[in-house]
Amino acid sequence: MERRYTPKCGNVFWLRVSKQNLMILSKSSLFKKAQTSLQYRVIGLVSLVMPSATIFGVVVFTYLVYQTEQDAWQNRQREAARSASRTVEVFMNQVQEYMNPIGLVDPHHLELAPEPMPSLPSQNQAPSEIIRLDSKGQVFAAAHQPDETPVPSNLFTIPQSSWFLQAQAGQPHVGEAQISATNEPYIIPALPAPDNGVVAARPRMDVPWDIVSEIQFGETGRAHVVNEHGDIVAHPDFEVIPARTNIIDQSEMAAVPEKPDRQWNGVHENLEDLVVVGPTQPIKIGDRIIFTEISQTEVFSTTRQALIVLGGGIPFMGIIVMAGTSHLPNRTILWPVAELRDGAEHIGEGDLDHRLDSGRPDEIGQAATAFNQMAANLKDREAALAQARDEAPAANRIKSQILANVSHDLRTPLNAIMGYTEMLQKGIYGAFSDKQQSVIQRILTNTRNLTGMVNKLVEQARLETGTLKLDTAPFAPADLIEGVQSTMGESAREKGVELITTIDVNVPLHLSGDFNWLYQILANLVENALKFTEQGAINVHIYCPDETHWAMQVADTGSGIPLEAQVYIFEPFRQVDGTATRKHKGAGLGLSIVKQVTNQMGGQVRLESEVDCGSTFTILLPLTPTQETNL
Amino acid sequence: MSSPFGLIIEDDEDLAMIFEGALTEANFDTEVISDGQAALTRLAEIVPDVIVLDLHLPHVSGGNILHQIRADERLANTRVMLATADAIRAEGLRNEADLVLLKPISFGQLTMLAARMHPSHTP
Repeated sequence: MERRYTPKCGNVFWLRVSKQNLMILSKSSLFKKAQTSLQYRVIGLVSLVMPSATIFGVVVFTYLVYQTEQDAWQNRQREAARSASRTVEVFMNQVQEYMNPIGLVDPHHLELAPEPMPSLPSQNQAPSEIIRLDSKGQVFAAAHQPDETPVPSNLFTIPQSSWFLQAQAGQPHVGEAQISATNEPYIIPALPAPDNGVVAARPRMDVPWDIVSEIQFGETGRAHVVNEHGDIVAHPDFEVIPARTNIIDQSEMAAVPEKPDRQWNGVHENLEDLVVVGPTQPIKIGDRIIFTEISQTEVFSTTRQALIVLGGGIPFMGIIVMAGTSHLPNRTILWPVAELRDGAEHIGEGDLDHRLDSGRPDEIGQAATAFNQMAANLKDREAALAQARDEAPAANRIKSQILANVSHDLRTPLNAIMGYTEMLQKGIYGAFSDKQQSVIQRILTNTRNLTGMVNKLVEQARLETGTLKLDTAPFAPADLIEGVQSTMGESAREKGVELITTIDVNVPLHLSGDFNWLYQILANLVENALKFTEQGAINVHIYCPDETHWAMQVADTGSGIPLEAQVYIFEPFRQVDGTATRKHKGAGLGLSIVKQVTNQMGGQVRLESEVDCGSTFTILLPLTPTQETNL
Repeated sequence: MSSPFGLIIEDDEDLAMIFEGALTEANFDTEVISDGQAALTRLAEIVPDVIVLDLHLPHVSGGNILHQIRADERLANTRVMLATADAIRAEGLRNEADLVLLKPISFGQLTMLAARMHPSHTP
């Protein structure tokens, strides 16, 4: 009953739509899956991108550190080598400065005074020994430091010595590393003298020695000097020189003395088989080259430390980034989405008081506000619906009461009019002329029409309020036919239309149902047929179309019903001709009542009609024959 | 053999007059009562053959009167025709009444039905 009384169709429709929306919102399993997969996707993407980006960053950073470090070390090495080279050059120049004046001394003068050589100052730059040779290689003047033992002065092989021969040929000679009788290394620079003689010296070897030895950078950085043949002529390791160590064996470096600029830079294994890094620096005097080296381990110590720091830091940073990556989308999107989902579930479960936090200033906040608004609207509508629902039974009662009162108030005077008219017609109050009788008949006809309409209105109202109760009792279908024939046969004859009533022999003598309403249905159909049939016949036929149904059929030869009207003529208050100028009067309720009551009986109404040919209404009802034959 | 007795319990003066006419037409002796309480009082004294009973009555409703008639063995043979415009209330009383007539009730119809209830007295 409440269902039928639902007062506002709009609300009902809205509720349906909303339920659908809610259903979509509440598909929680789908939603959870989507959220999880979204989270996994974000984490997956980050897991893929972050390590790659980190590794790339580490490689680039390490390479930069490596390059910077290597460059820094090489610059330091070069600087040290250059400095050493300059110092050696200065030293050698100073040695030469000592030698030059000696070369200018007149040999004859020296022959007269063989000790003209000034005593050598005991300065670092001053050679240990200096000698003056004639063109034959004979020493004709010599001087040495007081604490030094003369070396070249006592040599017997001077005329064959390369330094003498080169200097006598006019080329200054720097001298090769030599080993003295006391097993001390020395060099003999030699300069040509104007008298075709030679000035030679033995510099204090500890000076360049110290210079080379002093080259020190980092913990392992050092330097050594190589001559044009690849022999090491100066080295921090004292033993290397007497051993006549040659770098030719070291393939990477062998080519260095041959190169025009005698410069090289790279990684190589040094004499101790240690992997070292270092550039070379040529010394301008002689063809010496300063080799600097520093162990690769030390060179890359910073790089290594950076790698260790980064290597340790990457997992740590990774964890932070991953945590941040999962936390940020979680906090910004996934958690609010999950809250929205939970909210939708709450609403779906009927918790219309559930609200979301709409404090955020972004789209999530706007969505939450819209959600809250939706929930508030839903709550309002639900309250309105609940109120309407609560009011419906009351309204129903009121309507029924009004219906009963109106019905009573309408029918009572109608009954009086009809009763008095009938009494007049029957002559109870005296005889009337034919004309008067005719008028009385018209009054009666109109009163019956009005009564019929009132009855139909009441019936329709009872159908709408659900107060129509159907009885089930045995009845004789023949009584239906007889009733129709007796009440409407006369009207049909007056109109010149034949009312033919037949009943098939296969119809049980007694059926079960609500006789009054079945009669009302049949009477409505016949009344309708009479209304629209001007000539021909109205066939009322009761039969059994199959073993489980029986049917009442009313076929007329009237005006017929257009196809488009066949759709709506069963609706209340609808007629084929709904205009104000229509010919046939009536409330438009007859067919509506027929259809509703038939449906309530579990039956169907079928209509076949063609304009100007007539209409056939068939009421198909379930067959429930009764054993009771003695009604 | 005296005429059958028909009691009309109807508060509407016009209808009471018409029903009375119809029953008279069917050869009934008639009496009209327009008040529920008065009807009950009168029913304690008489045994009508047919009662035409309205439902909406002053003081005591027709439904109440019907219950009391059905509870009274003395009135076991009395046929009751409900004459009402209140279809809803009439539904509930269908089983107790012999006949339910929904207003408007035709003069001819009532005459015929009353006569049927006492065929021996059909005019």
